[in-house]
Amino acid sequence: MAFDRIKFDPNSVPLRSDLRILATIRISGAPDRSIYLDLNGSKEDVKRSDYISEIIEPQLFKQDEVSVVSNWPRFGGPHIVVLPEGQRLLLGQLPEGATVDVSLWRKFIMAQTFSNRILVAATPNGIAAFQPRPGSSVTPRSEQIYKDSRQEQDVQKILNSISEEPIKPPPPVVAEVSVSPLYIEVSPEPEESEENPLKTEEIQPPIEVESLPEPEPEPEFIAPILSVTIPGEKRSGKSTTLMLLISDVLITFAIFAIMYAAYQTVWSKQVSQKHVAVAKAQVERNWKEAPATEPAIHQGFALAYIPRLKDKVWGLPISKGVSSAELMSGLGSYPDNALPGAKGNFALAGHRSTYGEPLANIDQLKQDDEVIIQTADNWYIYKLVLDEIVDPDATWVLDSNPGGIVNKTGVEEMITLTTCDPRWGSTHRWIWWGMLTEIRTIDQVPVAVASAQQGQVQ
Amino acid sequence: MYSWIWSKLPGGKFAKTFVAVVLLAGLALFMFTIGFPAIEHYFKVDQTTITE
Repeated sequence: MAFDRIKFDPNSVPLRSDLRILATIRISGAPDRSIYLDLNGSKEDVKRSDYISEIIEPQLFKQDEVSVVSNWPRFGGPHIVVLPEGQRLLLGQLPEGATVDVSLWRKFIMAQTFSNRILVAATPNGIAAFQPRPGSSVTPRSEQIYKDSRQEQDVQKILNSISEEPIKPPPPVVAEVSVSPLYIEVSPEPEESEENPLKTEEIQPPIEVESLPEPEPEPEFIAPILSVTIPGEKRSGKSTTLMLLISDVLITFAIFAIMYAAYQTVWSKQVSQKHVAVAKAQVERNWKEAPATEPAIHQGFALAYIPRLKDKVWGLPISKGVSSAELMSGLGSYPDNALPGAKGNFALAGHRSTYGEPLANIDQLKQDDEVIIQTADNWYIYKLVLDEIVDPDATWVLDSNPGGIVNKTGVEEMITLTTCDPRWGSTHRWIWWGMLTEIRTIDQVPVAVASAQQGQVQ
Repeated sequence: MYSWIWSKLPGGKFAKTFVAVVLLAGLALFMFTIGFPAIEHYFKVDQTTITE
């Protein structure tokens, strides 16, 4: 079991439900330090005050600051409880016969608890735990010193910083864990006793023991060395699980929302470009093969040019129909309305924010702007006369004389552009009406188109 | 959930990151080509037509 490779996840295991063992830490040359847990504490929803016996040794505890680092029942490892006083440590939840590879304690653990950071490290003389304390002179760095690759160096640096003499990396520590129904004992030297029914030999599998270092002078307990902000936040296991569940849902929602936004803005544009190219080729093919036929639904039959929106609407195919298929390949013409040049209302729809967004800049259109429609035989030049923002169901805008506009212009051949408003919404529709001002044969290219083509040639 | 997925990914940190990116890209491709087009009708942000 590689202790420093076990990630602390306080939510993956029920916390504290089995913390009921008296533990004693014995360090050579120092008095034993004991921690008492309440044997009668409830196993569910245990509060810190439930399993800490303040009565027995009240001076040791500030209940709210006692921290459960973790338990690792899945890994057969112990609980660790570190007290904020900085020098006491508890190993817990070792069932009878369980073993712990204590040699791991030669290293260290930087553990993140609910509210603070706790450093557990092994020194040549035992195990020490360091509790960051607000107000201490050394401020922790923002870097995560518990990361695997830098863990050891950082801890060594910390150890050096708090000692007058640099602490060398500890030699292999011989330690032994013995388990009894009442307490766990951690000591740097193995002690075999006939009185202990659970001595080392009885623990399965045997604890791996390495060579014992020479006894060294007992160092002072290491004072708290870091300062942190302890929010004092307390959560029960259930609320934490609920919070995790909610966070998972929110993260998932965010991922899909971002994906959908990318789909609408980026992906749809790519899709539209391909469809536009295909539709334009189809229109030009239809002009050659059957120029005079009535366009079928979904079929492209004309190209649109709007000089004011030249970057978006220039040679853009117009297909019959206003379903998604037509609108992603350019502009769609309302199938029940007139065709270009005919009496009535030649009505077009186009996207404003997705699928190539041909009418994205409809707000830039002005009165008298041209809308040029190219068919197999003719150019139809319309001039815009009026715009209005209407409700989505205002079907009257598609009428042959919407709002009596024909009465004002005297021209029955109309064009209507419809798109959404606001740009990233669908609550309204932006409408532009125009009237036919000129019809040219296909070889009489309108000035705006011709000048643009010449510009391209030059 | 995500920590569980992360724990199940093979390899070290970089391998996990790579696999996670590949999985995310696969998910995005699936959603872009199949998922979103199927549900797009219900979540249109750009309805351009006049309808009754």
